[in-house]
Amino acid sequence: MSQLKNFINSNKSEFNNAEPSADLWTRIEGELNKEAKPVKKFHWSPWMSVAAMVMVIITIAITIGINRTLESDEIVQKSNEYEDQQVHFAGLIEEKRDSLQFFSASNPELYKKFVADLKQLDNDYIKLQEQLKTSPNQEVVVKAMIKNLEIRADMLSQQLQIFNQVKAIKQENIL
Amino acid sequence: MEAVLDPLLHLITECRNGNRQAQFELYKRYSQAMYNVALRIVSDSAEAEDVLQEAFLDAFKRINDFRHESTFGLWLKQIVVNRAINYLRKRKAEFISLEEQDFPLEIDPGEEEVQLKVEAIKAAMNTLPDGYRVVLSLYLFEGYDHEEIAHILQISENTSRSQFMRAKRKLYDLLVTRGIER
Repeated sequence: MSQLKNFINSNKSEFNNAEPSADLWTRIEGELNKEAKPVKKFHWSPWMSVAAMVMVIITIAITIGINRTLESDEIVQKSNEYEDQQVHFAGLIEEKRDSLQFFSASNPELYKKFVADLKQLDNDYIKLQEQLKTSPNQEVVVKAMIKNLEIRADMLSQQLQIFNQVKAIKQENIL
Repeated sequence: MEAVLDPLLHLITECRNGNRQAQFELYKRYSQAMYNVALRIVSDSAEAEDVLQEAFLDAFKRINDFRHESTFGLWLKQIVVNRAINYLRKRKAEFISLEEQDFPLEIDPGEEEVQLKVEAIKAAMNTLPDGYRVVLSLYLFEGYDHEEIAHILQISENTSRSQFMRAKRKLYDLLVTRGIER
């Protein structure tokens, strides 16, 4: 095309040498954070419901599990090894349950949701207990129970973390 | 298949996930070029920065709309240009023809008569009325053709052509006058 256009094309970098302020990105980032905020805001999202339900289930299961473990001598007597493991996990679970209860005071609506689910689990566990009495191989059942407790202790830790996050978000919103 | 050739594909994918670092990388890559595009159109550094900020925010928000039909740079430039033109509209810029008497028709400097200098062209561009400057910018600097300019400014293609001719004449006029003044 024209001489002018050629001249511009061959001097592109000189024509493009103006620079925006150094803090422009900071401004853009600030706006991006502002836009991201509503997402941060606490609301009862589906994953929280799921987490809460899982937590309730675990809490109930563990509660019952502990009672069962501590109460049913017949199983504990099966093996000292099992007993140690059960006590270990029971301790862990008890600890976490305490923490949970502490959080429940600050999150009553979260806790309420648990309670309903808890009842259902309670019933399930009673059924399991009945089955255990008639099981021909109690050792296998006990092993499974210990494994169960172990998994629950792990999951409970995770749920506590979630609870902590919920708490943190709540506090952030208050500020 | 051109999409695969886009070296920015990874960054763009990360931006879709809202990755702040990836957004910053894209900003670093394009901010200066886009700033100059905006600056040439609005001819005001503060406004050009506002345009840039809005354009990047808009681009990040709408990045899912980017379908790799063109390069990311061209897509972003379109956003910048549109935003910049919105600023001109707010100023009530007239995109269609100004008064003919501004530039006597007989003054049609042969291009070869003027010694082209980057700074002189920049300065002259800045003194042009908005309506002239934007057409010159889009055609000469951003490489849009008259059909595209007509679409962007919502004027007819013929208007774009004649507006461009007048704008260019005016620019040369300024270059010659200023050259003499020096």
